[in-house]
Amino acid sequence: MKRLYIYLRFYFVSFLYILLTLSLIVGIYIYSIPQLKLGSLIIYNRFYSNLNSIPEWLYIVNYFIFVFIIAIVIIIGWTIRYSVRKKRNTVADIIFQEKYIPQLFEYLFSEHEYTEEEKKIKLNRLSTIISSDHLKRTVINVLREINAQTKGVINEKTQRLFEALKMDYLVYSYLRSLHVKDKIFAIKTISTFKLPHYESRILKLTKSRNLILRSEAIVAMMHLNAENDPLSFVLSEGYTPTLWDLNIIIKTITELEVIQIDYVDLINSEKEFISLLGIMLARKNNQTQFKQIIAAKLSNPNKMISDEAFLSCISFAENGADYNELINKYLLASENLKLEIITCLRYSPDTQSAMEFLKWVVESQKLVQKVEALKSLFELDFNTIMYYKSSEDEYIRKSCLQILDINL
Amino acid sequence: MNTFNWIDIITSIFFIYGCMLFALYLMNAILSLSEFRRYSVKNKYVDYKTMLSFEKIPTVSVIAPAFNEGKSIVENVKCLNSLSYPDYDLIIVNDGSTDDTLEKLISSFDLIESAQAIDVHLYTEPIRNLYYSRNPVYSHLTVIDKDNGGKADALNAAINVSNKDLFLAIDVDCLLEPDAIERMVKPFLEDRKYEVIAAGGVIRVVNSCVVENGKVIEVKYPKNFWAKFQVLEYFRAFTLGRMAWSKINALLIISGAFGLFDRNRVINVGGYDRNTVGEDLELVVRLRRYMHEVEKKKYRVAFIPDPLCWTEVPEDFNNLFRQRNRWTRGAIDTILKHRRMFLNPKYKLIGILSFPNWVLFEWLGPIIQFVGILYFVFLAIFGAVDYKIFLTLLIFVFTFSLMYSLFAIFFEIYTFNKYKGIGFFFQSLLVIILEMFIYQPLNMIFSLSGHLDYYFKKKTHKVWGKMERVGFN
Repeated sequence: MKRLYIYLRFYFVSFLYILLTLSLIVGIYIYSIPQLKLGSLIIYNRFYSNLNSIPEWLYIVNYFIFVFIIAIVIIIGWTIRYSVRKKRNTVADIIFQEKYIPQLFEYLFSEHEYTEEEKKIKLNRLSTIISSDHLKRTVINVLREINAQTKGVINEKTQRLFEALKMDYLVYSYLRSLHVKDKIFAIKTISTFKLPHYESRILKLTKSRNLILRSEAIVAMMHLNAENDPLSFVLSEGYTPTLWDLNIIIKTITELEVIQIDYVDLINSEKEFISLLGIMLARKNNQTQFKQIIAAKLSNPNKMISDEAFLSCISFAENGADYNELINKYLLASENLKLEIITCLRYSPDTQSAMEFLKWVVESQKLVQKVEALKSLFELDFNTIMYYKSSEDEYIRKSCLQILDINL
Repeated sequence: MNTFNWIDIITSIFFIYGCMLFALYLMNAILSLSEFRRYSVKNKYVDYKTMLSFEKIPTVSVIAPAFNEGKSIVENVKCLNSLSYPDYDLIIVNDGSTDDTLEKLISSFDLIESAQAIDVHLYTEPIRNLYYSRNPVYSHLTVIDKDNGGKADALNAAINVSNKDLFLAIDVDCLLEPDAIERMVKPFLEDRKYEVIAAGGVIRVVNSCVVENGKVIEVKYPKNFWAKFQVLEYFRAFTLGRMAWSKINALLIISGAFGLFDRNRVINVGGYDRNTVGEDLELVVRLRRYMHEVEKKKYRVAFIPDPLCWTEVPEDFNNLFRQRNRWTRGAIDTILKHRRMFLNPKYKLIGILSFPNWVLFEWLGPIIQFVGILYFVFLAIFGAVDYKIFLTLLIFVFTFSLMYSLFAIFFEIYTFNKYKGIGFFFQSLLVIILEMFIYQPLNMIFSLSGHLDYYFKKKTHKVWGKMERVGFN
């Protein structure tokens, strides 16, 4: 019954729509119905006779005035109602936070072993207090926060308490709610308490157009599948991530310390952002064995993929051949990546090739690249800097001055 | 044609103009409502702290020109230095100040001259020196000291020095919310279909608010009446106006006090125009033209309605007059420069709707209003006014304005609720009523003076005019 109530409530017509409809009806009556017959009773519309005598365009102006007045009344009413409601919720929150949350904390964090009877009494008391949805959410949010930040006994206690509160109907109805706020609440709860029977619904939400819903669903999906393949949904049909999603996935992977990732499928995916994700994860987890597959992406037309491939190749570079490959592909790199390549060359075992290349950069490339190349040369061979210091090229001289500036 | 026919024709022109203006405001209200709903659903529950641990985000330079800001520069730089974005640097441009701005910066932040070489993409007045801080707390602060060349010139110099993906152009006296950059950058990360080329944010009035260590600690409704009028005006302009134009991707202005831009694209279009006082509007129009004429890609100028940037607004008649006069001159300059966009379908909604809006209601608006008032007086003198119709139309305008402004205030209370308590709502109600009879007519006069200065004072029409600030509480 409770579930039905919550479910139906989201579809109830709001107060505003009732008011708008009423004003529309009143407006139609005033402006277009001369008299109203209710059985034997006839109600004459006095406004109509007055309004009917004015020009047509002024009649429309009058109607607009009527609409504006109604709108003003509605806005004022709505604002007052909203402010009062907000204040009431804030007061309820304060009372709850001050009075009941400490009790909850005491139960969760005390070393005292409660008997089953004691637990039952406490649970009953808590259930009575959290009668409104607002308070139920507050309690679950508190439990969720504690669960996410703890391990061991306290973590288990929050899990057990959540199960004992029997909030499944709330999660179920909120997950189907029309309000984003409710959906987020449900997804977060599912994700934290690992409620497995909602997986298919969550999978659908990973493709939602709403960014925050999608993000939360991604996190939940990865949490639910933390021990199997948390990225399986990424390769599922119809999933196209954004840069935001990519960052969320990488962040969650890091938090979960995931080991099982299908790098090859990710890197070779036809979807650009998924390929990008694969390369990023390989670099982050130092998966040097995929160096060759990633090197093939250096000339990818998508700038983000090629940039990421360059970053990975820089990070994986070990021998002279790796560094020489970077030198060969230098012109394909974006401006910022060019600087990274120049910087990494100071660690190349093939010093001669590196120095020749750096000298070429100093003599023929842009100012920022000249500066970076001179920095690397400074590390490799200080005499070269002294040679360039008296160069005829003004930009090379300026760059040298910057390198030699002790404050930079 | 007899006299009465002439009167009918002129009256009809004013009537049609009024109807168009009314339709525009109605469109604004409807579109902004829809866009607000969409934005709210998409962003209300985003935890921006997650962005701090993101791997792939654009790098940002916060650039702020300063001219004779000695009184508050230290406090402002401290505020800008405490933003939470993971990868940003701060570039302050001392645009040839004649007061102690540079000296204060040097002593407060332990600055030291450096010989950094600069890639010059945009022409600017000569740079005298670059300074960096020896204090690790200010390691990402760069101060450019250059010859005076105006705000646009200073911004261009900072763009030259920056090497980040995006730049956030702000007024140095603005106070930013700690997560301001995250919120502004978000559209650059989330859009799949469109490339975001710039993002504009909302400016809020800081007068009377409590400021501590460069942060707004307590938001208070201004005590000064001029500031109160501007709070209302900013609500309407940002919440309803810009939100609506953003909905149809036809926003033409990003406030100069707070706007995020793609640095490479700005360099490609030649940076800020040094010859206008409306450089913020002009840059966005030029960027849009560039996207339509050169890149021909799907793109978007995003708008973030969250209150992220706080600024001090003029609290007296003279400063307000100078500010509005300058805004008008800037708008006229841009409109005339890009006049070929007017009703040009090549620029899609920008050419068909947004640019004509600027021409008809921003440029010509004050002139038509003024002529309208003169015309009414003329008709009244000759007894040709039907007072019944006049009164009906007056009530129409009055109720519509009241509804429109209340709508903006309701949005604020419903979404951001920065001004606490229902008292703010009722105070605003009074301000709305007074605004219609005091502030709106004055604004018309300020704009008219801008017109006169632009057309008849050729020597001064590109002068910024002095702005005096009261300072923070």
